[in-house]
Amino acid sequence: MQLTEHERGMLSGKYGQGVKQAMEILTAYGDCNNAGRMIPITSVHIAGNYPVLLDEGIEWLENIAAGGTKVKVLTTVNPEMYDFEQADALDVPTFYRERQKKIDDAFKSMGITLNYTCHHYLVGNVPRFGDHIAWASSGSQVFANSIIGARSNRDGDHVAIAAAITGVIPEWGLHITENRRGDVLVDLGKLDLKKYGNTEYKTLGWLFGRLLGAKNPVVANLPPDIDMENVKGIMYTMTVTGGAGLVHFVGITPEAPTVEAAFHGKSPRHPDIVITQKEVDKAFKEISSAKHDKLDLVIFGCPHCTIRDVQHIVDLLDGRKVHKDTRFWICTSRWVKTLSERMGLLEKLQASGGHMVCDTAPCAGPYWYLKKQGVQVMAINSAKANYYAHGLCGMETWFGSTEACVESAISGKWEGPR
Amino acid sequence: MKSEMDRREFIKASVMAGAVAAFGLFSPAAGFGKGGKEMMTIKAKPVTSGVAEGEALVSRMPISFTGGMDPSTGVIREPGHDLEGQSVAGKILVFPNGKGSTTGCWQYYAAYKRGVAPVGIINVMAEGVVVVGAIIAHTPMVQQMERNPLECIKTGDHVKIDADKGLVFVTPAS
Repeated sequence: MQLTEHERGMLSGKYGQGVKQAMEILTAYGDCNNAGRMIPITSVHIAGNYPVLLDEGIEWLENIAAGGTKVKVLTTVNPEMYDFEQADALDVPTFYRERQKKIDDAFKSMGITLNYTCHHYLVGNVPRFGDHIAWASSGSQVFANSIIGARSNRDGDHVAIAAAITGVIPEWGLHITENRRGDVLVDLGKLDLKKYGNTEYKTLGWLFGRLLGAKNPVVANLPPDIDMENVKGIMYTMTVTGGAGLVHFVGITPEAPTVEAAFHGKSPRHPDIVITQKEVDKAFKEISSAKHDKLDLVIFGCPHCTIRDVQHIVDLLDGRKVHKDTRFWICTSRWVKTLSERMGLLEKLQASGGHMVCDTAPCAGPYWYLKKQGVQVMAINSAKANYYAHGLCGMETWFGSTEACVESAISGKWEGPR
Repeated sequence: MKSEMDRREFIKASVMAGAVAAFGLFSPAAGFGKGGKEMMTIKAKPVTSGVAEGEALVSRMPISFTGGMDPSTGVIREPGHDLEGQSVAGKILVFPNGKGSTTGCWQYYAAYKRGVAPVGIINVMAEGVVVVGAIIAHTPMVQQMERNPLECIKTGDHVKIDADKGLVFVTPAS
């Protein structure tokens, strides 16, 4: 790689050991990916939850932070394992609190913004079209590429942290215009999308990942008035079953005003993929993993609930109480919680027996301590959270619509389709 | 993504039985290594730096370090994986490429600190998660060998990686 004088200085240790370590990671990573040079970035988002870092990861973080290492660009953090302000109420073990404090301290010393939300782009970390960024969170990385038109690869946390410390990243993959060209056309013309709700779009995302792997798909025939939450449903789910970084939603993605533009005026590299309802129905049946109907937990917020999501859930509850044996969690950012309180939604939720939980999320592993409290079977309206709760934490999971999840919380057993 | 496409094509090409034909220029230098068996010297592209040697553990399947490997024992625990139940600890781990969550680097690093990581890695085609894991754990690693490592290295062979010079020395076990 060609490095500038300043970059060579960073690599030599002139600006401290943390910067040196960061530059070593980036140059090796860049060389391996045949990057020619480094390019400046404007935004970073990282994960920092304990089940991922483990004790050794905390040591690594403390080591790179030592000596006053600071981030150079706005850097935000994904959710952690628990709500810091409700740790006692939720009976979070001291073990996890101690470790989280270490992670917090290291992040704080580096100047990282401790927002602990996966909706960081709704609370201030918003890149512009064409910006180069490093977001190590698969769903929001696809959002940045496909909806904002900012440019991020599927970087891991270490690369993203190194990028935050140096302010640069190797130029390869989706940072390069040519590589953002669509690979394959996905035709949804055979589906009756007028009947599709959020659950159906998430199921479609599950299927997309399976069928597309790491290709850049070009998705035609989405309804022009499709709700953004449904577009997000596709993106956040497809990264679970596949490795895509950019989806061209024709008419929505800034780089895809037309199918031709998405393909950069060239022919697709692969034959078109036509999706049938039969395949979508089959995919839906793959997602849930539960064997038992009795629910210990109904949880929302993957990605973190927006204020509209909160309003919708509270409206569906309509003053009814959730079952006494079923916990009811809405996971969101602290900002949305403040708004919910101001709008009277929090009071209504609590009157129904529900909790609003911040700083953590259904993908961040609260199950490690919830399981010890007897929580085993859960329901959620996110196929992504469903997969991770089952695969990483061994939970029994039901996947269905927000409506099905709310009704199930009231009866205390799964009421949705299976 | 162009590089991703190239990578997949490369892996596909290399994993095919006729890999030697695909690398028509291959001509390993012969010599005698440990135990008097004929040793092969094969060029490779360095990913990290340093020198490592040990017994080879060869997989024909991609590996995910998140979920796929126990970071306390180094044992591969992915159901149906061709290394399921075997430990990567102290081995020269030879496999096509990484897969799965980008958080795999943290799991790999934990395995390294617990003394159960491989001592060296040879990938057919390197991918980000394994690369970053090898960088932060200072594991000597090479990729894109001039001869397909899945064809010319067998589990149990003695392998030395010189990631500074971009060379791999293979002494067959039998």
